[in-house]
Amino acid sequence: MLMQHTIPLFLIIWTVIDKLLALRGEHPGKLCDTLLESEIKMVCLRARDLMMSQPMLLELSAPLKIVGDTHGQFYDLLRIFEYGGKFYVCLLSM
Amino acid sequence: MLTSPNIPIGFPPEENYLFLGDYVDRGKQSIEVAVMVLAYKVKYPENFFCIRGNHECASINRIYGFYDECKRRYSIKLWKTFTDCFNCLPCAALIDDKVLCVHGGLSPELTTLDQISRIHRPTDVPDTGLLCDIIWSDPDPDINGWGENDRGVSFTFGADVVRQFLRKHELDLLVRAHQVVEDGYEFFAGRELVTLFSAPNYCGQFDNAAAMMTVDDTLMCSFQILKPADGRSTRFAQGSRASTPDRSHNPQDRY
Repeated sequence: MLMQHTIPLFLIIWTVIDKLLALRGEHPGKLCDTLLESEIKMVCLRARDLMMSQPMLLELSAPLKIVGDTHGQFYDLLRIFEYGGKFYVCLLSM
Repeated sequence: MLTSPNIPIGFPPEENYLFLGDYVDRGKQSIEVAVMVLAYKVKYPENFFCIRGNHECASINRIYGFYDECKRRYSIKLWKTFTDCFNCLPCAALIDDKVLCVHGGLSPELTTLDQISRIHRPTDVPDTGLLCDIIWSDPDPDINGWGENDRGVSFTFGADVVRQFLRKHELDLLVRAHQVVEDGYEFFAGRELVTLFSAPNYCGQFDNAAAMMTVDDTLMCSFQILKPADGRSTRFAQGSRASTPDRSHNPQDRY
Protein backbone atom coordinates (compact mmCIF):
# COMPACT_ATOMS: atom_id res chain seq x y z
CA MET A 1 0.00 0.00 0.00
CA LEU A 2 1.46 3.35 1.02
CA MET A 3 5.22 3.52 1.21
CA GLN A 4 6.80 4.49 4.46
CA HIS A 5 7.99 7.92 3.42
CA THR A 6 4.64 9.01 1.98
CA ILE A 7 2.04 10.96 3.92
CA PRO A 8 -0.53 8.64 5.52
CA LEU A 9 -3.81 8.43 3.63
CA PHE A 10 -5.95 9.65 6.50
CA LEU A 11 -3.90 12.84 6.69
CA ILE A 12 -4.39 13.48 2.98
CA ILE A 13 -8.14 12.98 3.25
CA TRP A 14 -8.29 15.15 6.33
CA THR A 15 -6.28 17.86 4.54
CA VAL A 16 -8.54 17.75 1.49
CA ILE A 17 -11.71 18.06 3.58
CA ASP A 18 -10.21 20.91 5.60
CA LYS A 19 -9.20 22.76 2.43
CA LEU A 20 -12.74 22.48 1.08
CA LEU A 21 -14.39 23.43 4.39
CA ALA A 22 -12.11 26.47 4.55
CA LEU A 23 -14.27 27.97 1.79
CA ARG A 24 -17.18 28.32 4.23
CA GLY A 25 -17.84 32.01 4.64
CA GLU A 26 -16.01 32.93 1.45
CA HIS A 27 -17.77 34.77 -1.33
CA PRO A 28 -19.64 32.14 -3.41
CA GLY A 29 -17.69 31.43 -6.54
CA LYS A 30 -14.25 31.48 -4.96
CA LEU A 31 -12.43 28.37 -6.15
CA CYS A 32 -10.53 26.01 -3.90
CA ASP A 33 -7.13 26.75 -5.40
CA THR A 34 -5.19 24.96 -2.68
CA LEU A 35 -6.18 21.41 -3.69
CA LEU A 36 -3.27 19.54 -5.25
CA GLU A 37 -3.78 17.24 -8.20
CA SER A 38 -1.97 14.49 -6.27
CA GLU A 39 -4.44 14.88 -3.39
CA ILE A 40 -7.47 14.69 -5.68
CA LYS A 41 -6.02 11.63 -7.37
CA MET A 42 -5.52 9.94 -4.00
CA VAL A 43 -9.16 10.66 -3.05
CA CYS A 44 -10.39 9.20 -6.35
CA LEU A 45 -8.28 6.04 -6.09
CA ARG A 46 -9.24 5.35 -2.49
CA ALA A 47 -12.94 6.12 -3.11
CA ARG A 48 -12.86 3.75 -6.08
CA ASP A 49 -11.42 0.91 -3.96
CA LEU A 50 -13.93 1.55 -1.20
CA MET A 51 -16.93 1.62 -3.52
CA MET A 52 -15.79 -1.58 -5.18
CA SER A 53 -15.65 -3.21 -1.73
CA GLN A 54 -19.30 -2.26 -1.16
CA PRO A 55 -22.24 -3.62 -3.18
CA MET A 56 -23.68 -2.13 -6.39
CA LEU A 57 -27.06 -2.09 -4.60
CA LEU A 58 -26.29 -0.52 -1.23
CA GLU A 59 -28.25 -1.80 1.73
CA LEU A 60 -28.59 1.06 4.19
CA SER A 61 -30.35 1.73 7.47
CA ALA A 62 -32.26 4.81 8.57
CA PRO A 63 -31.79 7.43 9.90
CA LEU A 64 -30.17 9.26 7.02
CA LYS A 65 -30.47 12.30 4.81
CA ILE A 66 -30.91 12.01 1.06
CA VAL A 67 -29.64 14.68 -1.31
CA GLY A 68 -30.49 15.03 -5.02
CA ASP A 69 -28.55 16.62 -7.91
CA THR A 70 -25.85 19.08 -6.84
CA HIS A 71 -24.23 19.82 -10.26
CA GLY A 72 -21.07 21.65 -9.31
CA GLN A 73 -22.84 24.20 -7.09
CA PHE A 74 -20.31 23.90 -4.28
CA TYR A 75 -21.48 26.76 -2.08
CA ASP A 76 -25.00 25.37 -2.17
CA LEU A 77 -23.61 22.00 -1.12
CA LEU A 78 -21.95 23.68 1.88
CA ARG A 79 -25.28 25.30 2.78
CA ILE A 80 -27.02 21.94 2.50
CA PHE A 81 -24.59 20.40 4.99
CA GLU A 82 -24.56 23.46 7.20
CA TYR A 83 -28.30 23.72 7.66
CA GLY A 84 -29.04 20.01 7.52
CA GLY A 85 -31.24 18.90 10.38
CA LYS A 86 -32.57 22.27 11.37
CA PHE A 87 -35.86 22.96 9.61
CA TYR A 88 -38.40 20.33 8.79
CA VAL A 89 -41.15 20.93 6.26
CA CYS A 90 -44.05 18.79 5.11
CA LEU A 91 -44.11 15.59 7.13
CA LEU A 92 -44.81 12.44 5.19
CA SER A 93 -46.13 9.61 7.27
CA MET A 94 -45.28 6.23 5.84
CA MET B 1 -7.08 7.73 17.16
CA LEU B 2 -6.90 11.14 15.58
CA THR B 3 -10.11 12.75 14.47
CA SER B 4 -10.64 15.93 12.54
CA PRO B 5 -11.24 18.78 14.98
CA ASN B 6 -14.29 20.99 14.92
CA ILE B 7 -16.68 18.96 12.79
CA PRO B 8 -19.33 21.53 11.91
CA ILE B 9 -22.96 20.85 12.83
CA GLY B 10 -24.79 19.03 10.05
CA PHE B 11 -21.62 17.97 8.25
CA PRO B 12 -20.63 14.31 8.09
CA PRO B 13 -20.36 12.22 10.17
CA GLU B 14 -22.87 13.93 12.44
CA GLU B 15 -25.56 12.84 10.01
CA ASN B 16 -25.63 9.86 7.64
CA TYR B 17 -25.90 10.94 4.02
CA LEU B 18 -26.91 9.39 0.72
CA PHE B 19 -26.29 11.42 -2.44
CA LEU B 20 -28.24 10.53 -5.57
CA GLY B 21 -25.68 11.47 -8.23
CA ASP B 22 -25.04 14.31 -10.70
CA TYR B 23 -22.21 15.90 -8.74
CA VAL B 24 -20.59 17.37 -11.84
CA ASP B 25 -21.45 19.49 -14.93
CA ARG B 26 -23.48 22.69 -15.32
CA GLY B 27 -22.15 24.40 -12.17
CA LYS B 28 -18.77 26.10 -12.00
CA GLN B 29 -17.24 24.01 -9.22
CA SER B 30 -17.73 20.40 -10.20
CA ILE B 31 -14.27 19.51 -8.93
CA GLU B 32 -14.99 20.82 -5.43
CA VAL B 33 -18.35 19.02 -5.27
CA ALA B 34 -16.98 15.71 -6.57
CA VAL B 35 -13.91 15.82 -4.31
CA MET B 36 -15.98 16.73 -1.26
CA VAL B 37 -18.40 13.84 -1.86
CA LEU B 38 -15.63 11.32 -2.59
CA ALA B 39 -13.46 12.49 0.33
CA TYR B 40 -16.39 12.09 2.75
CA LYS B 41 -16.97 8.65 1.26
CA VAL B 42 -13.38 7.73 2.09
CA LYS B 43 -13.41 9.30 5.53
CA TYR B 44 -16.77 7.91 6.65
CA PRO B 45 -17.30 4.79 4.50
CA GLU B 46 -20.18 3.43 6.59
CA ASN B 47 -21.97 6.75 7.15
CA PHE B 48 -21.66 8.47 3.81
CA PHE B 49 -22.91 7.04 0.51
CA CYS B 50 -23.14 8.27 -3.04
CA ILE B 51 -24.70 6.65 -6.10
CA ARG B 52 -24.26 7.32 -9.79
CA GLY B 53 -26.07 9.90 -11.87
CA ASN B 54 -26.13 10.20 -15.64
CA HIS B 55 -23.45 12.92 -15.46
CA GLU B 56 -21.00 10.52 -13.81
CA CYS B 57 -20.35 9.22 -17.29
CA ALA B 58 -17.46 10.27 -19.55
CA SER B 59 -19.53 10.79 -22.71
CA ILE B 60 -21.85 13.20 -20.86
CA ASN B 61 -19.42 15.14 -18.64
CA ARG B 62 -17.06 15.43 -21.63
CA ILE B 63 -19.67 17.81 -23.07
CA TYR B 64 -21.48 19.48 -20.18
CA GLY B 65 -18.64 21.16 -18.33
CA PHE B 66 -16.65 18.79 -16.14
CA TYR B 67 -14.04 17.88 -18.76
CA ASP B 68 -13.39 21.56 -19.53
CA GLU B 69 -13.12 22.39 -15.84
CA CYS B 70 -10.60 19.56 -15.23
CA LYS B 71 -8.60 20.55 -18.30
CA ARG B 72 -8.57 24.25 -17.40
CA ARG B 73 -7.79 23.86 -13.70
CA TYR B 74 -5.72 20.65 -13.64
CA SER B 75 -5.29 18.20 -16.50
CA ILE B 76 -7.08 15.83 -18.84
CA LYS B 77 -5.37 13.06 -16.92
CA LEU B 78 -7.25 14.07 -13.79
CA TRP B 79 -10.54 13.91 -15.71
CA LYS B 80 -9.63 10.33 -16.66
CA THR B 81 -8.89 9.53 -13.00
CA PHE B 82 -12.37 10.80 -12.07
CA THR B 83 -13.86 8.72 -14.90
CA ASP B 84 -12.23 5.56 -13.54
CA CYS B 85 -13.70 6.36 -10.14
CA PHE B 86 -17.20 7.19 -11.45
CA ASN B 87 -17.23 3.88 -13.34
CA CYS B 88 -17.20 2.16 -9.94
CA LEU B 89 -20.02 4.12 -8.28
CA PRO B 90 -22.92 2.01 -7.01
CA CYS B 91 -26.19 2.74 -8.81
CA ALA B 92 -28.91 2.11 -6.22
CA ALA B 93 -29.56 2.03 -2.48
CA LEU B 94 -32.19 0.20 -0.48
CA ILE B 95 -33.07 1.62 2.92
CA ASP B 96 -34.34 -0.90 5.47
CA ASP B 97 -35.83 -3.00 2.64
CA LYS B 98 -38.56 -0.36 2.17
CA VAL B 99 -37.19 2.67 0.33
CA LEU B 100 -35.43 2.25 -3.01
CA CYS B 101 -33.19 5.10 -4.18
CA VAL B 102 -31.81 5.55 -7.70
CA HIS B 103 -30.86 8.55 -9.82
CA GLY B 104 -33.37 8.16 -12.66
CA GLY B 105 -36.10 5.61 -12.09
CA LEU B 106 -37.36 2.17 -13.03
CA SER B 107 -36.55 -0.07 -15.97
CA PRO B 108 -38.80 -2.42 -17.94
CA GLU B 109 -35.98 -4.96 -17.49
CA LEU B 110 -36.01 -4.70 -13.71
CA THR B 111 -37.84 -7.68 -12.27
CA THR B 112 -35.76 -8.53 -9.21
CA LEU B 113 -33.48 -6.27 -7.15
CA ASP B 114 -30.79 -8.94 -7.42
CA GLN B 115 -30.34 -7.92 -11.04
CA ILE B 116 -28.95 -4.59 -9.82
CA SER B 117 -26.55 -6.30 -7.42
CA ARG B 118 -25.25 -8.42 -10.28
CA ILE B 119 -24.28 -5.51 -12.56
CA HIS B 120 -20.53 -5.79 -13.01
CA ARG B 121 -18.16 -2.91 -12.25
CA PRO B 122 -16.20 -0.99 -13.42
CA THR B 123 -18.63 -0.08 -16.16
CA ASP B 124 -19.49 2.82 -18.42
CA VAL B 125 -23.19 3.75 -18.55
CA PRO B 126 -24.52 1.82 -21.56
CA ASP B 127 -26.92 3.37 -24.11
CA THR B 128 -29.70 0.91 -23.32
CA GLY B 129 -30.64 -1.70 -20.76
CA LEU B 130 -31.13 -1.93 -17.01
CA LEU B 131 -28.23 0.25 -15.84
CA CYS B 132 -29.02 2.92 -18.42
CA ASP B 133 -32.68 2.99 -17.39
CA ILE B 134 -32.23 3.27 -13.62
CA ILE B 135 -29.84 6.17 -14.21
CA TRP B 136 -31.81 7.89 -17.01
CA SER B 137 -35.56 7.16 -16.87
CA ASP B 138 -38.26 9.62 -15.75
CA PRO B 139 -41.79 9.33 -14.39
CA ASP B 140 -44.58 10.73 -16.59
CA PRO B 141 -47.97 11.61 -15.05
CA ASP B 142 -49.70 11.46 -18.44
CA ILE B 143 -49.07 7.85 -19.31
CA ASN B 144 -49.75 4.33 -18.21
CA GLY B 145 -47.01 1.77 -18.66
CA TRP B 146 -43.86 2.77 -20.52
CA GLY B 147 -43.34 5.64 -22.92
CA GLU B 148 -40.72 7.24 -25.10
CA ASN B 149 -38.38 9.61 -23.25
CA ASP B 150 -37.87 13.08 -24.82
CA ARG B 151 -34.25 12.96 -23.68
CA GLY B 152 -33.67 10.44 -26.45
CA VAL B 153 -32.40 7.96 -23.86
CA SER B 154 -34.28 5.30 -21.91
CA PHE B 155 -38.01 5.51 -21.15
CA THR B 156 -40.69 7.23 -19.14
CA PHE B 157 -42.99 5.31 -16.82
CA GLY B 158 -46.48 5.88 -15.46
CA ALA B 159 -47.81 5.84 -11.91
CA ASP B 160 -49.18 2.34 -12.52
CA VAL B 161 -45.63 1.07 -13.14
CA VAL B 162 -44.44 2.56 -9.85
CA ARG B 163 -47.41 1.14 -7.94
CA GLN B 164 -46.97 -2.38 -9.33
CA PHE B 165 -43.24 -2.32 -8.72
CA LEU B 166 -43.58 -1.21 -5.09
CA ARG B 167 -46.30 -3.80 -4.39
CA LYS B 168 -44.31 -6.62 -5.98
CA HIS B 169 -41.17 -5.81 -4.00
CA GLU B 170 -42.99 -4.80 -0.80
CA LEU B 171 -41.48 -1.33 -0.92
CA ASP B 172 -42.99 1.90 0.44
CA LEU B 173 -41.28 4.55 -1.63
CA LEU B 174 -39.08 5.17 -4.66
CA VAL B 175 -36.70 8.12 -4.27
CA ARG B 176 -34.97 9.61 -7.31
CA ALA B 177 -33.45 12.86 -8.57
CA HIS B 178 -32.60 13.72 -12.21
CA GLN B 179 -35.19 16.46 -12.87
CA VAL B 180 -35.44 20.05 -11.69
CA VAL B 181 -38.52 20.50 -9.52
CA GLU B 182 -39.77 23.88 -8.35
CA ASP B 183 -39.87 23.19 -4.62
CA GLY B 184 -36.80 20.95 -4.57
CA TYR B 185 -39.01 17.91 -4.02
CA GLU B 186 -42.08 16.67 -5.83
CA PHE B 187 -44.33 13.68 -5.31
CA PHE B 188 -45.62 11.41 -8.04
CA ALA B 189 -47.95 8.45 -8.08
CA GLY B 190 -49.79 9.44 -4.90
CA ARG B 191 -46.65 9.85 -2.82
CA GLU B 192 -45.14 6.55 -3.89
CA LEU B 193 -42.32 8.29 -5.76
CA VAL B 194 -40.50 11.46 -4.83
CA THR B 195 -38.10 13.51 -6.94
CA LEU B 196 -35.36 15.36 -5.02
CA PHE B 197 -33.31 18.17 -6.53
CA SER B 198 -30.66 19.89 -4.44
CA ALA B 199 -29.14 22.56 -6.70
CA PRO B 200 -31.09 25.77 -5.97
CA ASN B 201 -31.41 28.33 -8.79
CA TYR B 202 -30.20 25.57 -11.08
CA CYS B 203 -27.67 26.92 -13.61
CA GLY B 204 -28.75 30.43 -12.63
CA GLN B 205 -31.67 29.90 -15.05
CA PHE B 206 -34.32 28.45 -12.78
CA ASP B 207 -36.00 29.80 -9.66
CA ASN B 208 -36.17 26.36 -8.07
CA ALA B 209 -35.65 25.65 -4.40
CA ALA B 210 -33.41 22.79 -3.28
CA ALA B 211 -34.51 19.99 -0.99
CA MET B 212 -32.99 17.31 1.16
CA MET B 213 -35.07 14.46 2.57
CA THR B 214 -34.57 13.13 6.07
CA VAL B 215 -35.58 9.54 6.75
CA ASP B 216 -35.82 8.97 10.49
CA ASP B 217 -35.39 5.62 12.21
CA THR B 218 -39.11 4.85 11.92
CA LEU B 219 -38.89 5.60 8.16
CA MET B 220 -40.82 8.83 8.61
CA CYS B 221 -39.74 11.18 5.82
CA SER B 222 -39.50 14.95 6.04
CA PHE B 223 -38.04 17.61 3.79
CA GLN B 224 -35.67 20.46 4.36
CA ILE B 225 -35.91 23.21 1.82
CA LEU B 226 -33.23 25.60 0.70
CA LYS B 227 -35.04 28.59 -0.76
CA PRO B 228 -33.94 29.97 -4.10
CA ALA B 229 -32.05 33.25 -4.17
CA ASP B 230 -34.38 36.21 -4.34
CA GLY B 231 -31.79 38.95 -4.57
CA ARG B 232 -31.22 38.95 -0.82
CA SER B 233 -29.45 36.36 1.22
CA THR B 234 -30.73 32.83 0.81
CA ARG B 235 -31.44 30.56 3.71
CA PHE B 236 -33.30 27.48 4.76
CA ALA B 237 -36.88 28.23 5.52
CA GLN B 238 -39.84 26.52 7.03
CA GLY B 239 -43.20 26.18 5.43
CA SER B 240 -42.78 28.66 2.63
CA ARG B 241 -43.00 27.87 -1.05
CA ALA B 242 -40.53 28.74 -3.73
CA SER B 243 -41.50 31.55 -6.04
CA THR B 244 -43.15 30.34 -9.21
CA PRO B 245 -40.69 29.83 -12.04
CA ASP B 246 -41.24 31.35 -15.43
CA ARG B 247 -43.46 28.86 -17.22
CA SER B 248 -41.70 29.58 -20.46
CA HIS B 249 -38.82 27.59 -19.02
CA ASN B 250 -39.05 23.92 -19.58
CA PRO B 251 -39.44 22.62 -16.03
CA GLN B 252 -37.52 19.47 -16.76
CA ASP B 253 -33.79 19.26 -16.90
CA ARG B 254 -33.04 17.78 -20.26
CA TYR B 255 -29.73 16.29 -19.22
